[in-house]
Amino acid sequence: MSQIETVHFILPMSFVWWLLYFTRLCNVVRIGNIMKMPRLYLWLMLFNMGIIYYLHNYKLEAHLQSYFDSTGLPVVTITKVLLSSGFITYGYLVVIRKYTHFDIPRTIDGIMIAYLLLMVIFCVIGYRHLPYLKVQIITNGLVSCANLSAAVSLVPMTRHLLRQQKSEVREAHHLWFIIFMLSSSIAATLFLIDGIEKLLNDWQVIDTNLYVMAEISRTIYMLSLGILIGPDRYLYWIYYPARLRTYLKLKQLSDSIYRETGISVPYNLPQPRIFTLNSAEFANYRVYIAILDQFAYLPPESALYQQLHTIVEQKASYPETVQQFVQLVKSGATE
Amino acid sequence: MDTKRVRFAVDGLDYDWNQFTVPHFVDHIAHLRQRPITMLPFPLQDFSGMCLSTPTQDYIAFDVQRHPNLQIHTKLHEIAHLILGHAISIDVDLSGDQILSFLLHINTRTVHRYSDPTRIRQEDEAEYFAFVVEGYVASHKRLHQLTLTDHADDIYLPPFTGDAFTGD
Repeated sequence: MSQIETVHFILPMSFVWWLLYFTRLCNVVRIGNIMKMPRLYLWLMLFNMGIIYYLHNYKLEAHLQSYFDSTGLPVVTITKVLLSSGFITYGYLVVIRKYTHFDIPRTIDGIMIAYLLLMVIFCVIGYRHLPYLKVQIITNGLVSCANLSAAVSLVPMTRHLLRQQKSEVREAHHLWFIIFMLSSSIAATLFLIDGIEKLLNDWQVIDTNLYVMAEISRTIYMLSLGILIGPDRYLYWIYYPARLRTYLKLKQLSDSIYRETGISVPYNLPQPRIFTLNSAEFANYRVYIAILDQFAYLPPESALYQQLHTIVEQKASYPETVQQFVQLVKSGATE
Repeated sequence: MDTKRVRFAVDGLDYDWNQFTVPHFVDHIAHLRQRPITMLPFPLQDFSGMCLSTPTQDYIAFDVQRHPNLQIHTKLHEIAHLILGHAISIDVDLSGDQILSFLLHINTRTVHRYSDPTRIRQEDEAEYFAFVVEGYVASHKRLHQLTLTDHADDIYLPPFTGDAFTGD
């Protein structure tokens, strides 16, 4: 059993999600066009994601189901199955087929509808003959299988879209979407393994280590969704590690130039900070300018000068030139 | 180097950094100094750029052989010399050809490594000025104006995110 009670972080995170969701929704409504497809579907889907985030937790689901005990039906579990595998997984595939040029085979329709029907039938029958926890575990496992299949079927499309992207913000959207897909797949896999273990050993303990990890993965994918619907400036944080690595390489190159020319840093400038993405970008720019400015003072016979001269003479764009500088450092030119 | 003086000079420009583009900034400086600034793209030796003040005009020459990103930085550096009062001043207005000959003359006579402490301080100050300006530009999300890269104002991502979500 884990020391962590999953309810303790699912509930506050759920609150944060709804706060963000409604703030951003108000923004979209203010701009207009909310009723336009596929935007309408996406916002409804996000609404359902918020509900599913709550319902996927066994304790919260059981607590909510206790209000419907008198009906004799697992109302909450059926809702969860229909929203998760129906509206979100199947609905998303249908939207892709209708609003993009990506092909989703028609056979999926039959499979998904039959699968949904079987899950609902299982919920109804299972609720009468099995302990509720087992119904929850099995339906969660089935939902996880559907999620995993959908995620796998979307891999080629996501790879294709990522390669197509020319601008950083679009690329950043895709990278966060990949994080969303990865963490939801990890969560689904962990749910499956945890569910099998619980069923085989007839465990009554809910918050096992695997289960906590699955819930953390779910929280990560909600976080990535939150970033995706948030203001674009937050998307760029995904580039921070890369910016930092670039800075270190550029700094290495710049130091190497100063070392070889035998001059100290020519201007008594403060070092830019690198603790935020924006400042890391600026720091990269500053070192880049220093390299462009200072390499001319290297001896012309120097190998480093010749390599830098070749790069700079191309007068390529900023990102391309930075990339070439980084490659130069990686090739060991500064050693 | 008196960094406070330089920062004070930059803040004294009273410039709206949200509007920053290089031509807009140059126009603003020209407006402040009440005289046009003429940019002279010029193949220089050893220098990235230089500036000159005449009674009615300011001139900034920059080395066109350098990388375009460095040319922009050079313009800001030279503007700093103008603002901070380091620029070489002559009392007569010269024609375009005379200006070029004059700058070429300075260019070929001056060694690129300064030993004069005043020149070193002036270069430090001008570079610091450019650094502060670029810092303001970056903090106002306008760094792409210095790097000459595209800025993605258009948000798009089928089929899941971007304008599909927000319509921004």
